[in-house]
Amino acid sequence: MSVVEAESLSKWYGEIIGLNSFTAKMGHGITGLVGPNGAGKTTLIRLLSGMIKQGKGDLKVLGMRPFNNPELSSMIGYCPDHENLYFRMKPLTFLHYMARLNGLGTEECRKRSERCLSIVGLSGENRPIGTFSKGMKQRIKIAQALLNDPKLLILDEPFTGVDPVVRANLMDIIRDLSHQGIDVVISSHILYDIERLADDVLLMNDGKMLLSGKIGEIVDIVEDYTHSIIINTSSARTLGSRLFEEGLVDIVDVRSPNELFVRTRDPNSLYDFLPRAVLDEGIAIEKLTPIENDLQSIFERVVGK
Amino acid sequence: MSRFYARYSSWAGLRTSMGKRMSFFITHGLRRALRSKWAILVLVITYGLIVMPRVFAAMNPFFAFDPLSYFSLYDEMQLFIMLYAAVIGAGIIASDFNDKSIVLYFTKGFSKAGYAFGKLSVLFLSFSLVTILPLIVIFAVALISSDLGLDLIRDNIWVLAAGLSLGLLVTLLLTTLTAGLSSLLGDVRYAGASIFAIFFLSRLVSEILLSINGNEHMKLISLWDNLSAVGTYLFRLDNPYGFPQLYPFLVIVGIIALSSLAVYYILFKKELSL
Repeated sequence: MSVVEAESLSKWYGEIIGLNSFTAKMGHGITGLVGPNGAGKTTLIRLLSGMIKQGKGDLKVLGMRPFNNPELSSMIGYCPDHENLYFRMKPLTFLHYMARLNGLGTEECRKRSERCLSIVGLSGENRPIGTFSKGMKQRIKIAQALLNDPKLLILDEPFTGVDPVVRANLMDIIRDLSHQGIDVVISSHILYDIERLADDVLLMNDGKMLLSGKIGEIVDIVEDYTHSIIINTSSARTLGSRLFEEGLVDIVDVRSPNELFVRTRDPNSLYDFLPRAVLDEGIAIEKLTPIENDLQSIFERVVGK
Repeated sequence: MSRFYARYSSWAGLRTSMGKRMSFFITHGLRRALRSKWAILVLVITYGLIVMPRVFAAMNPFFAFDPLSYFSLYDEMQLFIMLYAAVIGAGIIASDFNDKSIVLYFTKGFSKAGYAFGKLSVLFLSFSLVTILPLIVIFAVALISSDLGLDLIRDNIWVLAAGLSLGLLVTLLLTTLTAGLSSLLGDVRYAGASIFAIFFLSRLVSEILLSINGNEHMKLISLWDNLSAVGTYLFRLDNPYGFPQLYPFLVIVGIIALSSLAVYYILFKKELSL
């Protein structure tokens, strides 16, 4: 059974389209939703968490329709993008309150709250939540999402505004949760993060899904079209001219005397030529960085930016 | 990066019943509401200035079970009841919208009906402290101060019933009205101001229109006059209004229904796109 099944899902906000005939299946593991602001990620997340109802189409999460469904919501851990916390409460008090609402007994609730705090690395924090940094608030939000022992964790932009260290920590936590059997749907516009976390990726733009699949499959699809490389060389201008003369590249951009960006439709011929350029023409090539495996380039290409 | 956090593990514990969860939700809400320094201040002033003198008066057999004395209690307390309603009720739902925490309740397996019931219960119980409890205290003191004869109780129990009925109506009106405004406006300050303003403005408009055209029906615009009119019926007093007391009762029931509808619409029909 798929974790999420969406069929021709549409959602309008007045005349603005949030989601447009969105069809997708999300399996077990970590699924990343990727797209720019306004792509429809948050709309989809809110539909999944049952906060809003679709205008058209059908949506099932863990086999159930999510809107106004307390039974399903008790199986979901939801971490919204906004800071929906009681700022005057201390972390343990806040989690304790949330755990009691979730139906844990007094003693269970204390243990579980402490456990969830330690999972996100905030044990012993005794200040009011309002004094916390953005990263700490994100961790508290994840902790409260774990209180109800969720089968599915929905994380909306969890890395927004956090520093690289916290980002790495959060990734570590999310990966660990996935290894423990919790399915995760995570949205982000920071493509670097999704690429490193997700098993499956859904690329979204303007309320539609552009591509979906394993990250490797998406790369394969995109490779049929163009291939981009950054070449660090001793003579970027000379090498760029030679590649253009040979008809091996569509775009050449000399970014600096030592860095060249090229885009090609025939990567095999390009890779064959480069060693010859080194041997026959004496152009030193220090480093090749194909950026096909970077989600950013795939996304930009598919969206057409 | 080395990992030093605890690892996640599935929780195998049993969940408590919905009744226990609801009971926790209500008692927590009550504690939170009554911890407000403004609520405490209004309570102290109300009991100090109005309820306590009535308690002492109730020890006098002449006033002990006088219906007019019990009826006028509500009139004297109206300013404080309104203040208390604004202080306690304004943020009851609006604050959950303000800090967007309302989402958290519904992602903890808490139904919208449960949330609404819990919040309305918190309001009802809080308001009872100024609408029902004073009456019970005064009546109890009156009984204790008298000879506690069965005849006396039988003859005067209707005064308690009338007071409780009026208190219940006032509490229901305040509960639904404040919850309705709090959820509709979604802002604590606006909700607080509007709760207070609705009572005063409705009375002001009613007075102005009454002075212009002299039609007694204009008093039906004033919320508090409607409650007073129903009170005169319950306490078997002469009807000082130029219309049957059924009208104000229907107005109050209408406002309760409309306010409940507002809560229902905001919580059940409107999407939580915070």
